[in-house]
Order: sequence, then C-alpha cells, then structure tokens
Amino acid sequence: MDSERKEPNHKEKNFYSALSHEIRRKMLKIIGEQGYSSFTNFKKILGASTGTIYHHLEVLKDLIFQEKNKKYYLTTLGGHAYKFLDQNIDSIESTKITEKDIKSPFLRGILSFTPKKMFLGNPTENILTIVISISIMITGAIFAGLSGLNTCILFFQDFVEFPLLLDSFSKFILGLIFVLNYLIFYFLIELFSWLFYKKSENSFKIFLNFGLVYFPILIYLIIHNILLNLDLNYLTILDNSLLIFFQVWSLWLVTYNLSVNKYIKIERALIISLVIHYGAFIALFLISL
Amino acid sequence: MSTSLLSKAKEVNYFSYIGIIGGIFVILSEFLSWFSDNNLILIFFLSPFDPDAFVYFFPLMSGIICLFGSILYTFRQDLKINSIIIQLIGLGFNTIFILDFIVNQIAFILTIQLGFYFFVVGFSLIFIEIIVKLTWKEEIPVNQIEVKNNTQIEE
Repeated sequence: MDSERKEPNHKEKNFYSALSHEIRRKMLKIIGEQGYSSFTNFKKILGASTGTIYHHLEVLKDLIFQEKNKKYYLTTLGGHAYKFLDQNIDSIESTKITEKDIKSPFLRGILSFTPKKMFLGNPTENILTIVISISIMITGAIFAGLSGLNTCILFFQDFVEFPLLLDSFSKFILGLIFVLNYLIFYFLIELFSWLFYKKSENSFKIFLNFGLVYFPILIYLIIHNILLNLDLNYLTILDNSLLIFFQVWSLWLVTYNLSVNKYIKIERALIISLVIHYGAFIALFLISL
Repeated sequence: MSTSLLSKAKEVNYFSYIGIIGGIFVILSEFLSWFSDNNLILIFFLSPFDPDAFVYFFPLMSGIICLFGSILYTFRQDLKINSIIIQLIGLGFNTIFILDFIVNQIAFILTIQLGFYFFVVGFSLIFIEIIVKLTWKEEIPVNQIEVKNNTQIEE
C-alpha cells in the first residue's frame, strides 16, 4: 500500500512492462486463447528454459495468477492486456506490406504514385489537400459532362451514342451524377468500414482528402475527352485499357487511404474497396439490361 | 529448378489453385462458342470494320493476366498484394467485356453455349480466390512461433 502511494502508476508500469517482451506477450496470448496454461505447456510451446519462464511469470504477477490446480489464469488486468494485444494488432499492422512486396518494382511504382503525405497529414492544417480535392471533384464533373459519360462509382458508360451532340442541360446532369457518385462512394466506404470492422475514426479527414482518390479517374476523363474530340474511335482498345489501369490505381488509393486513416490492415481495406467496386459493376450491369 | 518450384508450390493452400483453374477457364472460353456457333476469335476476324472488335480478345487477355497473378501467388506467397493487383487488372478487362459485349447480346441469352458458362465460372473462381486470399487469416499458431533469444532474460 505504502509502495503504491509512492508510485501511483505502479499498475500502469507493470502493465506496459509486461507487454514489452515478446515471450510475455506470447504467454498472455497462450492463456487468452486457451483459457489457462500449465507451466509444462508454456515450456513446450515457447521452448524456453525453466528459469526464463519463472522470470517472466514473476514479471507478469499482476496479470497472471496461479490456481490451486497449478494452472495459470489471467487476472482482470491480464484480461485487459490480452484484449489490448488482440485488438490493436490491426492498427499496428494497418500499413504493413511485406518487404518483398514493396521491393517488387510493380508495387514500388504504385506506391511512388500515392500521395502518402496528403493521406497521412491533417487536411484541416494543410489547406492544399482540400483545394486539390475539391478541384478534382469539380474538374471531374466537368469532364464527365463534356464526355457524355454516365458515372457509376469508378465505372463509366456512354449516356448517348454521340456525346458531342449533347445539350448543356444533359451535360450538367451528367456532371451532377459524377459528384453524387463521389459522395455515394465516400458514404459506402464509411458504411462498410463500420459494418465490417466497426471502424468510424477519421471520417471527416477521409472526406476532405477523398478527391485524391478520384485523381486517376480525372486523368482518364481528360484523355477520353481528347480521344473523343479527335474522333479517334478506333482507339477503343486504348480507351478501355486506360480505364482499367486508372480504375485499379483509384482502388489502390482508396485502399491506402482506408488503411492509414481507419487503421485497417491493407488486405481488409482491399476487401471493402473490392466489394464496393464490384457492387457498382453489378449495379451498372443490371441498369444496362 | 523445376523441382524447387514444385516443392514451393506444394506448400501452398489448395485454394490458390482456384484462381489458376479460373484463369484457364476464362482463356478456354475465348476458343468456345458463346451466343452463336462461332468462337470469339472467329467473330473478331469476321468483323474487320468494327472499331470495337478488339474487345473480343478481352477474355483471353484477362485470363492470361489472372493466370499470371495466380501462379505468382502460388510460388511467391509473400507477393500477395502484387498478385491481387495483377488479378484486379485482369478482372478489369472482364468487367469491360461484360458491359460492352454481353449487355448487347443479352437478347440471345436463351442460346448461350459452353463459352459463356466457362467465362462466368472462370470469372467467379478468380473473384473467389481474391476474396479468400484477402480473408485468409495467416496467423501463425502460437506453438509455431519462433522465440528469439529464449535463453536470454531481457528487462
């Protein structure tokens, strides 16, 4: 009691000290996953010496207790520690991509075209991110209207056979559809992050930098417009291939944005992006029918 | 060389072969008849004045790209994200093909033949492989975790 008064953060210190060693974290995981563990079980699984295990058990005395049956169980604090380890692994590993993945020229190339600083930084402090984001949305809407393209998240379809003959009102509506899709895409991402992984943090930050996700799509719309104006219809193959390339780039940006701002593992962020992307594809397919 | 590649492939979970089968199915669909008795390659050569005719090659291109992505993952599981992005590009060709071609041919849905079925099954298998790859929990069982310096007591 006296010592606790001298050191008020005694429990906190023990808590973090317990988590600071790999073997101790594993001991907590073993009990957390199996409910309890015997000394022999620790020894067998960890392959450590008797002295080492006794030492770590001593350090873990606030988190683990031994029953009369000689088995070790988690205390309430130990339970919290296990929960802490289990829940935070996603946040810690949210941007973890294997070293070999990054070393490959393919992903390194994609990463070099990812505005990492803009996704990671706080947009309210960096007004440039907001300006770029809004500019992308407005320019995208203009080019979608000029190209006569009907937007469905990241997919596009010709609104009429001859888009250059479209009247101003139709172009305005198509631009509006682009902006609506932009907003729907954002809300779907928020919805699925919450539904799948109960993640709702940094929603406003993602909203402010969401325009960056549409940057590749904006490039596609500009190129498409140029091909359309030059009447290069025979370049359909180029147009389609570019759309695929820029769609994948956009999907990557969504995934990266989700991963770093919602603290979701890159694989899980990819699942959300894919569900929305192919959901949009199915929707467009059904509409086309 | 081939032995070491085969031994590496054996370490892979069987689900990774789903994508390979899917890729092969999509490639095969190119050489089978879809809505008429002609296969897609023949349709391409029969429509020389159609600027969109190159779209008929999309299943073949998609199948090859997806197959490459699946094989890459089979031998190099550490390149999972790479292989998924490659497969996404492959599936992108399929989605464009569906929106550009199948939608226009939907009136002939009652006459569909083997090629169409191969394409749908292949597409689905590739998509399933991607989702399984992403959701597969690669947790190392606690009893297989390698403990470094287990004799050294650190504080």
